[in-house]
Amino acid sequence: MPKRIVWRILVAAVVVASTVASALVVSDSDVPLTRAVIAALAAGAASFVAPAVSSRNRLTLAISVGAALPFVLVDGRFEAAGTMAVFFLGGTLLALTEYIRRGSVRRSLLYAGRLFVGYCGFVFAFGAMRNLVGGSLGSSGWDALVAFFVGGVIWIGIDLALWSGTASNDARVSPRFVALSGLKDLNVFITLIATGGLFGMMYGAIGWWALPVALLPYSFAHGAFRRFQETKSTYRQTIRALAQIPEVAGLNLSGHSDRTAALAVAMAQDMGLSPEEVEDVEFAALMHDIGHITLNDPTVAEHGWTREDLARWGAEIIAGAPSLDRVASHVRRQYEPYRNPGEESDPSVSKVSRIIKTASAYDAHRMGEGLSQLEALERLHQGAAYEYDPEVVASLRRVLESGVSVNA
Amino acid sequence: MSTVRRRQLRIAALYLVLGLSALAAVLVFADPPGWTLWFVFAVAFAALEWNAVEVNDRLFQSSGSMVAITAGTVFALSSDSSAVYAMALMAVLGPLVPADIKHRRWFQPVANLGQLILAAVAAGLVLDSTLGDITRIDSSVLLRVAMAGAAASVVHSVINFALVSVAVRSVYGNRNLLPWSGIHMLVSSQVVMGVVGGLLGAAFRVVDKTAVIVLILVVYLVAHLSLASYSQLREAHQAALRGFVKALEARDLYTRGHTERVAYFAQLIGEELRFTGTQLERLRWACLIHDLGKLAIPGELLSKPQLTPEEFEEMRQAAGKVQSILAEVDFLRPMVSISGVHYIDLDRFDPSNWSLEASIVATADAFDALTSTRRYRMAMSQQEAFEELRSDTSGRFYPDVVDALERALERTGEVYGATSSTRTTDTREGARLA
Repeated sequence: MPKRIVWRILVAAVVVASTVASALVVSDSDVPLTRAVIAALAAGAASFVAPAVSSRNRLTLAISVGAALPFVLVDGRFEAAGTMAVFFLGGTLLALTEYIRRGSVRRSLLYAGRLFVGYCGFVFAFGAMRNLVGGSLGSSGWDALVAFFVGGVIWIGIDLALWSGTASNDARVSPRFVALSGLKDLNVFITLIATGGLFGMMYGAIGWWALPVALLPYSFAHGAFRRFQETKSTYRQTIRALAQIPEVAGLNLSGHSDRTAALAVAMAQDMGLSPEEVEDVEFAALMHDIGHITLNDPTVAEHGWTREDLARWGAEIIAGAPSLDRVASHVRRQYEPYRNPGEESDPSVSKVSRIIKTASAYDAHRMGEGLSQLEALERLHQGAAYEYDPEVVASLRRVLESGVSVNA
Repeated sequence: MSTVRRRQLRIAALYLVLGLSALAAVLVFADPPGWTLWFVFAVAFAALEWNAVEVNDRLFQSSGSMVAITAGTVFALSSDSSAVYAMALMAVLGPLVPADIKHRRWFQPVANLGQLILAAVAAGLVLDSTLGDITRIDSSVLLRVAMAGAAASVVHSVINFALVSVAVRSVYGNRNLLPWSGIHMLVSSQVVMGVVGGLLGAAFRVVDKTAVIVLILVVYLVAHLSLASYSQLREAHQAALRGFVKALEARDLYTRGHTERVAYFAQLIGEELRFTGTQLERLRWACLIHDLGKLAIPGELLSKPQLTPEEFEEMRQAAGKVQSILAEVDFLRPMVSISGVHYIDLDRFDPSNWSLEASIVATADAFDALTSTRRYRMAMSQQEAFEELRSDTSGRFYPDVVDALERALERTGEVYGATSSTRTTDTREGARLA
């Protein structure tokens, strides 16, 4: 039997089994069956609405549905087992849609599983806190809010931990990088949970009116997230386009800035740099040779230039943009050797500068001189500890061995 | 005292007196709100107003006024307080923008104070009169509240807008504000904000749980912060491009400041032709990139006053390559087609491929070139430049566009180019052209 069909049967079996299991739990609890079904369907449908995020983590409105469940399933009461069972049912639907969307069984199960584990943490913490603070805070809703807040923190924590574990494994980047880039999406996660809580706390009093009341503020946030990510990607595209100007003018190796950037970013992620530093690496690598446009000037051609000049001219151009200050200083120092014989290496030269220097040299050896991967790497090894930072060269080797495609 | 200052004083005094009298009347005759709750709303309102985010459409700008509507609804719906009191008092916080205090501006804050109080009083009266009679609050009132919120919000923004335009017109005597061209956008976004604000306020009253307000504020705060970082990023994006333009212009002393001036002229024309904010922004970007093609052109070609056809072709191709990489950026693609004014082959120029925007960029570019001194010729006077543009038979410079530029410059009173037809340049002119 072909492997695909085996997988499909397996998925079907998992779906049926989890549906039956959660149906049993729900029927055993006080949750009305119709409400349970509606909620599970809502979670499945809401998983199609995904706000734009910085990392590759997929956050969807299903999180809001989950956050609302503790308030809405049983009137005036909270039922832990029933709530989890309903979300489990929703999660099964979600895994199914995810599988249809992306076609990977492993990923969709991992994704739904991660969501469910985080959710269990949320429900447990919520229940425990409610018992703890319920008596002391009165009925103005603060008891529920405090419990909700603690539950939300636990949920986010678990999700972040699980996600950095699985994603760093998939993409061969350091868990630190994944975790930090996940933190950047904290605002989205908080918005999703708060939206669900808002709906849940209002549903009892105003019924389905709670839906527009909760969703309208969310839609503003959704729009803001989208604009932010769109601008970010436009910014990156613009920098990339500008960086290619010396190349189309015939002043530099064609495609050099793109390739250097792809390689440098992979190295930076491998070395566990923070997302901000990785972004600096990307921009600095894209523009590290922008100083070459100056070579268009006949007087420059006459007087000659050094690598330091090129780096300085490039940095001056980049420094024209106040937001790229840091990038400019990385580009400025990229020509400096790791250390001169008999001296310690200069700590004021950033890791970013050293990464660009190495990535750029590798690409020049490979594409400029036509060396093989092994030969090019060998050249860099010869220069390690003097011209190049040995740590960076080691990272380059790891990146190349992992087969990350950097020649795109 | 200058005329502008005297006019400013007159408007500020008028608005302040009107606003303060309205406030005094409200404080005397209307019912005060519950202070704890009012304070929570006031803090949120002030935080949003003081950190207003600049976006080119107005949908996101008005989160502060939405909080005001929410508060107004909450207090209109309780029997012992009124919306007008709460909103008028809250409006006092609006003009205290830290930037104004830092720069010691007095006109804006003072005029704004009066104007915001007046707008808030009007909106509060709308809420009180439509919602004040509700005694039993449940979900059946929500639709009515949503409509009242929308009405109050529209009233608020229309009054605000009208007072601002009156002030700007009577002080500066120009139409820089583009009074009513964007009003439909403004009104539709205010309707949405009003509906949301009203619904939130009513929902809060119905649910009767103070904790709910925390969740609402969390969502708003996050949305506002994301929007602020979006706006920052947008600024950074534009600054990065400007940086490149500077680098480009550093190569040639004669063209320094050219791009900024072209962008300025294009903006004047766009305003004269009643372009919307989004259209103006597109023009600005197009002007920023219109000269980047030069970066790829060998320096010796650029400095030649006269080019052979082969050299011209080489120049065109080099610039074309830059244009085509810029066109790979989705966002810049439309701007690239507008800004393709350079090195067009006049023999093969096809007017049907030309657009109003392209004509604006071309006109602004040519006007600046004609009125600036280049290394191979002196600047023309403004009059001569307009004559030159009008006598061009290629069809690149639409007559409407040239007229618009002339009107706009008359309006601002600026004069570019050599001051007389003898083409001598005084020092002021020299400084501008260098």
